[in-house]
Amino acid sequence: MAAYVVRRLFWSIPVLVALLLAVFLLMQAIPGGPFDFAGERSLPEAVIANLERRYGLDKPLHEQFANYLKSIVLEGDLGPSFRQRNRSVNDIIGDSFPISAQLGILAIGLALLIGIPAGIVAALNHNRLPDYVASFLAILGVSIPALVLGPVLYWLFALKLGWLPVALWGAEKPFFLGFLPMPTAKFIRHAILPTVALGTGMSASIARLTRASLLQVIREDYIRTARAKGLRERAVVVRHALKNSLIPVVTVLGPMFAAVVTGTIVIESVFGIPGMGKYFVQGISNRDYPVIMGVTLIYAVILVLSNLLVDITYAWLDPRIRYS
Amino acid sequence: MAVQQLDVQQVFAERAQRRQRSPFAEAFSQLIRNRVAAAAGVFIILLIVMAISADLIAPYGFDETHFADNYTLPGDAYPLGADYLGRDILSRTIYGARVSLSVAFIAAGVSLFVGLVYGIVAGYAGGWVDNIMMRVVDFLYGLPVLIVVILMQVYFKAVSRRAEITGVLKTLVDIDNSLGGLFFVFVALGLLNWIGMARIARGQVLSLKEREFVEAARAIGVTTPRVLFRHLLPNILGPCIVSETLAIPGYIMTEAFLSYIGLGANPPTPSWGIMINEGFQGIRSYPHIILVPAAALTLTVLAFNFLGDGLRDAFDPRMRT
Repeated sequence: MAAYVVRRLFWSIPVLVALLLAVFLLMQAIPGGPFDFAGERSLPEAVIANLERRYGLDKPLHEQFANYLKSIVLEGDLGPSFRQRNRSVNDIIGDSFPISAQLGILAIGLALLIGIPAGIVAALNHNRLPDYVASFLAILGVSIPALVLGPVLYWLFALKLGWLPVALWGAEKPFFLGFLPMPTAKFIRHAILPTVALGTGMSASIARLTRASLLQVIREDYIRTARAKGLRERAVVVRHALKNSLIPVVTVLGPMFAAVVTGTIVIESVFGIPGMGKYFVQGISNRDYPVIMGVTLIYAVILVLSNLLVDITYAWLDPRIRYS
Repeated sequence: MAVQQLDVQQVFAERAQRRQRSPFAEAFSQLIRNRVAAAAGVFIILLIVMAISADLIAPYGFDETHFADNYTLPGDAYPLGADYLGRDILSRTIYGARVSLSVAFIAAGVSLFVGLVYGIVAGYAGGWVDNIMMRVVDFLYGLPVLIVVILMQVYFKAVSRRAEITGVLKTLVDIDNSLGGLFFVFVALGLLNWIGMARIARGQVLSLKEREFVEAARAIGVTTPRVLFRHLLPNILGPCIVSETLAIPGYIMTEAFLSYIGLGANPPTPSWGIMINEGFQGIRSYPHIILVPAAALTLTVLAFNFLGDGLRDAFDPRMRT
């Protein structure tokens, strides 16, 4: 197991370096330097040359990449923003990441809270009414993209009914451990709509997976054995079937992080939440390339590490799985 | 004696008849029996017909602006209303089906083709060839697909804004512009999504290549490419098509997502993602604008999900519920 973790960690290094290199090369390949301001705000050439020397942009490419790697790995420095000139990419991410993390965690929590029980109910009532209802709602849920559900909820509950706030996020710094907010009424009111908009699709896919997996497990021989030795149905389901059926559910947590990433990008721009996703979309329309690249890099690291974590959890949950 | 001969003939006749029902025919009849999946299939066929004949059906062109009529509510002139430039929403939604469907089928086609060829070759070759090919897949598998797609789109969008590009890049950008900004979406989606398919195809080939029918084919001197694509391919195609169909909703949603955030189709291309974005800008006063493209996107994804589920049940009897 330890060997497997080490090997996986080792394999994620080339992936991350390749991503860093891709981000760096794209930054280079995208025409226009950070100090090309058009029109009357354009700078004299000497000033640009000085600025480029200041940021090391006059050095050869491989040296620049080495410095870029070094500054990211050692200092975590993602460079200056082109458009918000008094802020660095680090400032922007430092302010916005905790908010995105809060939203993502709430949505995943909601997804597990609804998805797993719904999947269990459907599987235990296989081919009866609760199964049909749950399965239909689940396929509906996976089919509504966040960019549809977000605006619909926004229009209905924030604009039309006015029950919940239309924009912004209800938590302020300082956060516990850097990202945990005070659960104030304001925070909850602001969090409800974005969490539901983001969590619905995920809870639906978890419900589908839990159902399918539980249906398969329940036909296994060891379940028959458990029943044959006279265990109560409840014990059979909870202790024997459920534990094993949740293993595939863990594996979708990896792809689910990817869904959270796309989801937060859309949901944050719909609900005006000052998280990373909103700055990402803003960066695209402002062509603020360092912000785009910095945020992309953070997303990539989160995705690579979460996939790794999922694979490790998988092996830990099912003793039959032995990575060699 | 005579009776026995009759029996043997009957057995052979029955066997021949059973053989005629190929796995595909079996799966197809299962699919038809599943009414919801069949309805989803019909819906998708209608959508395809609508997309192909958009020029005939749509009352207006997708980029036909009537500035005096902007934000018109649904009525006689515009059945589903007009958007902020006075463009007919119904017409744009009809043309938008072209975008979503072409993304769905091209991404699925590329992924299926590349993945199948790669997976079959790796699985059949075995040994060090397989080893190297699978290490490449492992590496690519570690890449977060969405992030790579976003990075590529950022790059392509930045490049296509520049006038002075030359050579191959210029040709690509020209193709992209003529396709309303969708070419690079196809490229980005097709480039990485074959990996899962390659893994499935390889696994299938590994489990089949030691079977007698492959050995028999080789024994009578069938060439390797013929063994691969005439004997192995038909046997692994079913599960591969199923998993590709299940991937289609993801392609459609990714295109809509990219277009929504400004990294997909270029306006005025009527991508449903762009229309949702434009509709959201005016949602406070004119909520009808966002409604139609949002419904179209959801229904299309829903239909592909139902069809994919139905196909999976039809091809894989163990999953049948």
